Amino acid sequence: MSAVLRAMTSTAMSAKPGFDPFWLWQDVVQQAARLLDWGPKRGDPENPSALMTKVSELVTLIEFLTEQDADVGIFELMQIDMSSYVVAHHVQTVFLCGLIANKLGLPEARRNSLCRAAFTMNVSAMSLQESLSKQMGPITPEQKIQMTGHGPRSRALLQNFGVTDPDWLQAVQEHHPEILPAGQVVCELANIIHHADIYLAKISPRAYRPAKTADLAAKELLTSPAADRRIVSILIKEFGIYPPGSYVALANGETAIVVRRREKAHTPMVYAISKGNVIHHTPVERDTALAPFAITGIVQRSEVKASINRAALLGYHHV
Amino acid sequence: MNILIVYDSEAILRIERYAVLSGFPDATVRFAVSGASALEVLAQWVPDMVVADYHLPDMDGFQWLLAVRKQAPAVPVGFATSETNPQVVRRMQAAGAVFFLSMPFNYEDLVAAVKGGLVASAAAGTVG
Repeated sequence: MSAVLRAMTSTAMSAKPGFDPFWLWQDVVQQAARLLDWGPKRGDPENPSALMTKVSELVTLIEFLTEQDADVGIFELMQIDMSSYVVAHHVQTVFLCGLIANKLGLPEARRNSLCRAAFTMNVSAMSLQESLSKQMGPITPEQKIQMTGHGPRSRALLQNFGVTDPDWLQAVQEHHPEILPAGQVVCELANIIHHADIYLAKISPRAYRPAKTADLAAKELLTSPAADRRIVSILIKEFGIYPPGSYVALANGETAIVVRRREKAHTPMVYAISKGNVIHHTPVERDTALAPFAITGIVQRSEVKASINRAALLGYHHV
Repeated sequence: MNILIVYDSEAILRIERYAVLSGFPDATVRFAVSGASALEVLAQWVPDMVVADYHLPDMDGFQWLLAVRKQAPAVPVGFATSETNPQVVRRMQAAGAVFFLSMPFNYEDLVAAVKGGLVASAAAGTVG
């Protein structure tokens, strides 16, 4: 049998030929779906220890991708397939927690604990979470009772699976600080997860309401008396008003897609993809700092008909 | 030319050394027998290319590649291995492995893969 040689000869923006963060993000979502596909309906996993190792490896991959190109990460998570809310939400939460941890300057070990906790925070309530995401109304009082206490239950389950990291376990236990006894201060990692969880829930569409825009979600968080302004400020700064992957309307009537953040939150890098019903043959980069191309508002993803080559728009022409 | 070869089999280390020297007679070749020891070498020595097995004794080859890319992002890494799972191959390529050579291979295959990887990496480096 002859050898199989796969040498890659194309150029890459990342200085690594063949580097394809888009494929890896898809791989992340597929792996996450497999790892989260257990619970009461399937019984306990056959090999809990191996499952936790896989969780750690997946989190490492997400952290790697975040370090390599955070704009691609935000882009992919804004464009993520929401048909499985549970999968999408957990991947998004890990990513966002990693971003916040980096900005807060958390040591690597703490960041690892945080991201592992973010992925496993709801292990005891997977089925209910999936049902909630699909129902046509807000959570019912009965469901609220079922959800109450899922943090401590998830912690207990993880301990049964062999997790011993105290930071990981405490963050899972306390990630809904409203259930903590009066006077108890939520731990730092749980507080980060809690803020990321709420923010992402706001910007994600539900069966009974469309997604809120990133700036509206941030404003709502800021007005909450329990909000940690330091974390909310990071969320606003990192996701911006118009995060990569979101669609915007320009002053000249075009619809554009945001591809990268810029120093000023209201003037990100965009490509115009259509005007009215006419789809541009090739997306055109627009300078949103110029008046004719200034962003005038958000366009809901469901209103956009044009397909895009996201790799090309983000500068990965070899992919 | 400096090349680091990472295998846990002494016999394969020797074979690969001969193969590399057949194409790069002046190369300095160093060895590591595990993923962790390779990372220790890379902390002190920056080779022009790393050639590794996917099945390392102490860690999964993909996790190891991510660690190398984090620790020594400029160093190109290729794999010469018995692993043939297409999903694994695609994952390694997507993470930036410059080649993935399946066993069995001859000296010429490995030399061609290393040369191709060096060329591709240099071209990418000028863009990045």
